Amino acid sequence: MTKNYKKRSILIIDYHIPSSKQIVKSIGIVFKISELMLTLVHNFSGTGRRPIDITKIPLKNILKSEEIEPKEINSLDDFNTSS
Amino acid sequence: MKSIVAIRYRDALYFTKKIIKDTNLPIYVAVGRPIVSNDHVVISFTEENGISIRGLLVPNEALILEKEKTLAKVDMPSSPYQTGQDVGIFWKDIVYFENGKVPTQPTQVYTEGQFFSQTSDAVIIKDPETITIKRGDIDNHPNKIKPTFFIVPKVLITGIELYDKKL
Repeated sequence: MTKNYKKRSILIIDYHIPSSKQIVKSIGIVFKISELMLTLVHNFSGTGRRPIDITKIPLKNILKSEEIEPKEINSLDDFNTSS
Repeated sequence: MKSIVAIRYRDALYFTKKIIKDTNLPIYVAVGRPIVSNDHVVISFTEENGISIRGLLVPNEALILEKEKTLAKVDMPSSPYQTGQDVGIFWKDIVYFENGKVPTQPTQVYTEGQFFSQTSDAVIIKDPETITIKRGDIDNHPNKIKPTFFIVPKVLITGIELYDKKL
């Protein structure tokens, strides 16, 4: 199952929250993958690459994943063209 | 549908060590869907039915933008503060949120302590006491540990006051 996910790829993942019927969409960078779990990091310290906010997603709960390339923001106008 | 963006930003940093050697502020990176306002941007990490439930709010001043030179809002004094001078700093903090409680503005923060030093982009306060002011409520920040130093990016500072603890 892990072969579908590459470390450092940036993904939008739709998944079931464990023990819930809730379906959410999470955006982040693949930080760790194990046989059962994928860890997405949402923000990190750029120098040490130290993760700050992460989400652990059981692989069996993933409904859909899409690899994306985020737009790098270098000016406030870049937000307007990210639509 | 808004596309996904990657931003780079500054944030304040505190230490609990007695001595600090590296006073450089790290650069942070966040990835998510942007919700843009006049003076800040919310980066949404997790969404339910298109509504943000987890993310962070970053004031525009904290964004690191290669095409725009961000200048410190506060006029720093031409003569440097003396080490040990009692100062109070008002600043805007990044806001992390979850459970769908999307903030509408940066948290207003006030840090009081002794001026320790300054770099080109930050002010370093020793023995700081910091409070956050949210909707009239005042909380200690951080609320469980006692920092020894606070490094606040100048771009987030909205006011500086000198005071004398003895008075």
